[in-house]
Amino acid sequence: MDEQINNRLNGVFQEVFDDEDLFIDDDTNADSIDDWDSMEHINLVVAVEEEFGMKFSMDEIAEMQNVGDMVEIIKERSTNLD
Amino acid sequence: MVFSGNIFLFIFLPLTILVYFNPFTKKCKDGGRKFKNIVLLIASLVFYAWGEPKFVFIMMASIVLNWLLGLGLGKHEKISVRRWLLAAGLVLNLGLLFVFKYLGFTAGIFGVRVSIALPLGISFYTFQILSYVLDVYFNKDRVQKNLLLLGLYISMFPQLVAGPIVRYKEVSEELLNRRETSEDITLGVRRFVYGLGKKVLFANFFAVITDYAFFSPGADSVATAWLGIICYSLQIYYDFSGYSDMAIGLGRMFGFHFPENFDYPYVSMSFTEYWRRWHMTLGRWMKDYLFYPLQKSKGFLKMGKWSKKTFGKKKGKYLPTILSLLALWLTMGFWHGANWNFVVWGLVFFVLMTFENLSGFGKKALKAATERGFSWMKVVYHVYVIFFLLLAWVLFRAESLNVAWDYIGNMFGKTSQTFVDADFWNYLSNVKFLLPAGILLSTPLARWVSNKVTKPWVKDLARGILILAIFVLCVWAVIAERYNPFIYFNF
Repeated sequence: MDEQINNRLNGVFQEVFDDEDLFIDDDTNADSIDDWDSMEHINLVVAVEEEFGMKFSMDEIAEMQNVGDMVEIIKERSTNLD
Repeated sequence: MVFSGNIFLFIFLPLTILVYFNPFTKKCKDGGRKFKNIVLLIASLVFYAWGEPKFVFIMMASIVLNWLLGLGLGKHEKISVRRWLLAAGLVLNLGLLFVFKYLGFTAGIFGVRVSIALPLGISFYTFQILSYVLDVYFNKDRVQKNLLLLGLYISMFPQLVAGPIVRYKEVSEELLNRRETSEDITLGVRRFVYGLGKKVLFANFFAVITDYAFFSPGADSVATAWLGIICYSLQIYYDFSGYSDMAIGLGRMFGFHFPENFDYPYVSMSFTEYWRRWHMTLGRWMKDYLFYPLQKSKGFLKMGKWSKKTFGKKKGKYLPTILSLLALWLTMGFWHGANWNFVVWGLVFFVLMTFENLSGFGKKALKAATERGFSWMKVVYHVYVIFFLLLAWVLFRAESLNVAWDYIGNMFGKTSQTFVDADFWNYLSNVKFLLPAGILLSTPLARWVSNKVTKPWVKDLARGILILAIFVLCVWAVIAERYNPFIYFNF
């Protein structure tokens, strides 16, 4: 399940940051991707929302500091839906 | 009451600590937590009432109203009801801020004279209240049912009047569950003394030169104008970061962990970097409660999509970037004061940040800043930051735009007759030791030296002597009642 989420997320990251060689893991954060700043954060979040068909609260958006946090929140949301 | 004054240092703080840490609390079932919180709340209200005997009631009324609003937000699931409650919260809090801070200015635009006194720290505590209301709006489980605890979050005296701006969710846990360990107290006292030193031994002395230079702009020599604004930059850094140190230290003594507010801003090589290092808690507040919600709003996303369709993928990003930065920097400018020079000050940063964002300059400079070793590019980046920062500080310090233009004109020899005059040498001799010390200590030099000392006993001994020396000097200066204003109280 984690891996599946990760793969889909990776696609979103490649698309948003326009970099086909970009590969993410749980520790990937704003420091490891140059273009990931507060300007680009919402674009990223919106693209993730579209990919997974969910809406994040402002609270969650501020908490998404790295890919690991993102995966956790997506997982939490998916189980809640079931 | 100011942290660096006689009454706070020798009466208020010792008394509060004595009652807070009295040995009888150990006999209480909850370890005295409730008692301690009540002591802290009463102390905070006394602290505020000391300077604002009338406005303290406005703050208390505001706390009760926001507590009720929070209860409503915690109870109702329905989005339409929640929206109404949020709107009521925004109108109430921003309305109060508007009446006290901006009504006079707005009326002035229409030629009407209205004079209303500004309650101490209203910009800071309004932002803390808004943080609570918005945190509960975003997640209703965060509601604080206990009025006393909410009151404590908003009014806590260490950070009540000038920050750091603590987000509600950051301290909500510590309001009830915290421990005041002996390590906390040691670290807290040390931090407080460092902050006191910054304020009393640095900021207050730089202030004297600044005040002279700004006393008659237009009559200064070029060198005096530059010296004056350099002294002001150091004054405001030592003043505000010193205040933050004292607030963080005081919080720590009572078991609270407040966020950091400054990270050597003057070493920055871009304004992107600078605004991650200067008044960090305000930047975070703006990001979480203004910047993100604005960018995530339906209308804004729609506009972004339209822009991308019209201008292409890369250039399509320009419009949303520019608009969100404009909203951010106008708010930043107005937050600092209801005056045109603060608006222009905000616009200067809007232009600089937009330039850095759209050109990619900001990212390049950020990257250069993380690289080790010397390079000429780093010097260029740094000179660029310091140059525009000094100009922006003129806008910040001047009483009006006219004064600011006069002063900037003076810096470039437009109005002044001479390049250097006797006044300049006189002022410079007053700060001949303080100026280099102030510049060096605004960099991480002290931290670097401290890391070089490896033997723990040497470190402890040196630190102990330093703290004692700073404290004794501060006490001497405070008792001598030197010039002692806090700049940020006016915001």
